[in-house]
Amino acid sequence: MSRYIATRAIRGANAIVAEADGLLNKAIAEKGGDFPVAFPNTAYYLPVMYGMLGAEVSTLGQIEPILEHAKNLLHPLPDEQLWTPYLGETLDCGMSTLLAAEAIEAIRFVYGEQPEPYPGLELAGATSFTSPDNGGGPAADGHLNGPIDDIQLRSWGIQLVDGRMPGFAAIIGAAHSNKAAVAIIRELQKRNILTFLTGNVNGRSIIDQLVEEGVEIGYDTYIVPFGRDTISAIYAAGFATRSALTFGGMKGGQWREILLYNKFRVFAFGLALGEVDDLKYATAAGVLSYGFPVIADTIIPEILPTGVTRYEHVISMPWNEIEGKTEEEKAAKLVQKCIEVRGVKIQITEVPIPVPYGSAFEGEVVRRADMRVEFGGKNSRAFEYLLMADKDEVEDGKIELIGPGFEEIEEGGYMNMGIVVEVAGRKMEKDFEPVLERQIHYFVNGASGIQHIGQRDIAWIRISKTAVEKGLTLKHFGDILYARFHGDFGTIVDKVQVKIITEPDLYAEWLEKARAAYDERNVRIGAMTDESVEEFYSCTLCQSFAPDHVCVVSPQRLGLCGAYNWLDCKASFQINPTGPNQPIRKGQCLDPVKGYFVGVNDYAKSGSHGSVEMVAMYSIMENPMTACGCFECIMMVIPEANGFMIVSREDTSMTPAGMTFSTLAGMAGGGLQTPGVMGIGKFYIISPKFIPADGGFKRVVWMSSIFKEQMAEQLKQVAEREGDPDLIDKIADERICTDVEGLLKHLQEKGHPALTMESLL
Amino acid sequence: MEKLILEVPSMYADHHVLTVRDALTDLKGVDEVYASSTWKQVLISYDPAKVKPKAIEKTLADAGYPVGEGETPILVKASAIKRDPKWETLGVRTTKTNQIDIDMSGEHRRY
Repeated sequence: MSRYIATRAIRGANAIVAEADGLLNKAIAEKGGDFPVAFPNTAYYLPVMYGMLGAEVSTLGQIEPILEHAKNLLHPLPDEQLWTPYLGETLDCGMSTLLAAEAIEAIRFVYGEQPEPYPGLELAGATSFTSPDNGGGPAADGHLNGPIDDIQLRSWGIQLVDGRMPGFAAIIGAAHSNKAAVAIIRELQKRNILTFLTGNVNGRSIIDQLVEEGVEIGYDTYIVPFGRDTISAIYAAGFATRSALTFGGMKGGQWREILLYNKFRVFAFGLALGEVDDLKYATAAGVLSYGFPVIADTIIPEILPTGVTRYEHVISMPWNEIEGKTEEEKAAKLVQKCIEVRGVKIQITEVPIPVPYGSAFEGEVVRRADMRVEFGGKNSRAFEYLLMADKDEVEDGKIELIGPGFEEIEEGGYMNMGIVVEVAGRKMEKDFEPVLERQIHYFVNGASGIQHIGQRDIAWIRISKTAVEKGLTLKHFGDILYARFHGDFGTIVDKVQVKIITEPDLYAEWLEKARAAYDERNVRIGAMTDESVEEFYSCTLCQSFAPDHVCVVSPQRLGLCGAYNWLDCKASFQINPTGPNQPIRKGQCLDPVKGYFVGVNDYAKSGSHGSVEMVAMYSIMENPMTACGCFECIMMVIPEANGFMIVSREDTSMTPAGMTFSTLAGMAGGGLQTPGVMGIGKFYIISPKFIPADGGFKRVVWMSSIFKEQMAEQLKQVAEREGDPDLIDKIADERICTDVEGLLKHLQEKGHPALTMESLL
Repeated sequence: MEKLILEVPSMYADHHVLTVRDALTDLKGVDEVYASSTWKQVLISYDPAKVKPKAIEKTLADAGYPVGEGETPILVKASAIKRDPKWETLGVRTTKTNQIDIDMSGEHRRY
C-alpha cells in the first residue's frame, strides 16, 4: 500500500467530512432539520447511505447521524516515520468520503444547485427527471445530468446483463487535449461502455472538452455528465449501489453483499485524467471498496497487489509515455489497459467503415441541419427486408448498390431506398427472418452519423454531413450488415449478401415482394399461440444480476423486458444451445386458465434455485412470474377498484397505489414472487393471454397515458376483442387521476366493467 | 503582464478550483489563472496597471480562500502514543476472514 496515496486519501476524507459537516449545520440552521431532502426519481433515498447503512434519509436532520458515522470511519494521517499497512484506514476513509459527498450533493439539491447549471447544453436522451418539476434545478437554460434516475437504470439493465453494455467508466478530470478527450470517449463508446463524466482540472472538465468538440452527450449516447467537480462522482457510486439493490434483490444495509456484488458483477473502473488532488484520492479510495480499480493518465504511485479489486487497484499510465503516434492510438491503449485491469471481457465485431461504430451510437440523433440525406420519413420511403435463400443463390460478402448513390442529391435532400439482405445457413429457419430483420435497426444505428428509426417499409434513415465527409457511402450499409450478421449470428447464418436498391423499377419490385412477406409473417405470427407450440423458452439472461429470477417466454407472453419474444428466444437457443434461453417442455397442463404446466413449474423451481415453487403463466394474483428489474411496466392490484393499474417505466407521475414507478419497482423486482404485483413487457397487455385467470384486459382500470398514445391502434383492437369498444376511454390515466378517490369516481362515471366483475380478493 | 504564485491551503479539491477561478477571472486586470488543487497553489498572470496583488489576495480571501492561511482540516489527530485511535473505537477489527467472504470468493462464488 502506498503511504503517499494513503496520506492524500485520508487527508481528503478528513477535509470533505469537515466540509459536509459545516454545510449541513448551515443548511439545518437556515432550512430546519425537517426540511425534505432527496435525489429525484429514485426509491432508494440517498442511495449510498441507504445501501451501506440502511438509512432511509429523507430530511436534512437525518443526515446528521450519517456524518457522525463518517467521522467515526476517519483516521489520522499516516505517521511520517513509522510505516505500517494503511489499506484498512484508506478504505474506511474512502467510505466516509462517499457518505460526505452524498450529503453535500443532497444539500445542493436543497438549495437548487443540482443538477449543475450548464448554459446552452442540450442533453441527448430522456432526462425528464431533471426538469424543473422534479429536479428542482435550474433546467431551463441547460444543465448537467445529476444523478441517474431509477427509470434509466432499469432500462439499461437488460443491456448491462446481456453484455451489450459491458460496464461503466467514471472519468474524473480533463484530458490532455480536446482531441484526446474525444478519442478516449470514442474508444469507450466503441466498446459500448457507459461513461460518467465528473471533475475538473484547473476549472476545465472533460465535459467542457466534449461540448466544445460537438460530441453529443446524454443517456442516448451512453455519456452521462454528472457534474464538473469530483463530489459529483458520488452519483456513480449511487448507480453502482442501486444496481445491487435493483437487480441483486439486496436490501439497504447489506453493505458487504452490495460491495461484493459490485466487485463480481458490475464491471466498472475509474479513469482519473490530469492531476489528482486529495479529494480525488479519497474518492478513489471509496470506489476501491466496490472493487473498482482506478487508472490515472498522470504519474502517481500505484497499488498493485490484488484483493479488494479483482486485479490491480491503482494504475498509473502517463499520457506522454503511452506509445502511439496519434491521440487516437494513445486513447485506444489507455482504454484497453483500463479494461484489462478491470477484467472486462469485450467482444468487438470489427466493422470496416470510415466512421466510429458501436452500440453507444445507437441513440444518436441526426438533426435536419446536420443531415446530408434522408431515406424514408415524410418525403420518401425506405424499406428493409431480410429473407432466407438457398445456399447456391447467396454469394457470401457480395454487396451491391443497385441504382444511383446519394451524391447527386442536394444537401438535406431525400431519396427512396431498399435494403435487401439475403442469408443462407444450415440452421437458418424461415421463422428467424423477422428476428434477424429487426437487428438491421440496431446494426445500422451503431454507425456514428447514421440515424435509423422504424422497421419494415416504414424505416427512416438519416446520414449526417460529418459521416459523409469522412467517406461514408450507401455501400457501407452492406459492410455493416455483412460484418454484424456474421459476427452476431454466425452460428445460424453461413452466407450473407446485401443489395442496396435505389433504382426505381427494381425498388418498386422488391418493395412489392417485401410487403407480401410482411403480410405472410403477420398471419403466421398471429396464428402462433401458446397452445400451438410444445415448448416455451426460459430466459435467465438477467440471472447475472438477479440470481433467483427466471422468465418464461411463450408465444403469447413476451419477456418482461420487452426485448425478447418467443421467436427471439428460439433463435437465441439455436445460436447458443447452452445459453440463457433454453426450451422448456410444457408438459402436462394442470390448469389452462391460470396457466400451470408441469414442465414450467419444474423449470421455475430449478432455475430459481428453489426460491419459486410454481408459476402461473396467466395470473397475477396467484404465483405470478417473478421479475428481475428490467421490466417495461408494473401491474399492481387496486383492491378498491377491483382491478389493476399498469404503470410505464417512462411515467414519473404518482399512481393510484400511492407510489411512483420507482417505489413500486422495489416490490416487483429482485426475483420476488409477490401476488398482486408483477413486472411485464408492454406488449403482453394486448395479448389474448393477458391475465385471463384474473379477468383479462377488462380488469385494467388505470394505465399510464403513454400506452394510450404509443399503442392506440392495438389497444383499440383489444377493446373490440373484449366486446367493449369504448373500454380504453373508461380506463383512467395520470392525466385523469392519481389517487383512488379520483379513480373510483372516473370508473363509476364511465361505467367501467371491473366494478361489476367478481371480487378479486 | 506579471505573474504571481499564491499558496491557498484550503483549496484541496476541484470544486474549490471552480470557485477560485470564478472569483479571479471576474477581476479586471487578471489575464490568466491556473488553480491547482493538487499543489494548493494559484498562478495568476495579471496587468499590474489594472490590478494589484493585494486586490487579488483580497478577492481570494473574500471568496473564502485566504492566501497562506488555514490548512486542510484533519478531524482525527494521531495520539501521543502514535496509535490510530480509530482502531479502538471501531472495535470490530478482526484478522479472521469472514465466512461470507470465503463463500463469495473464488471461481465458484455465488456472487
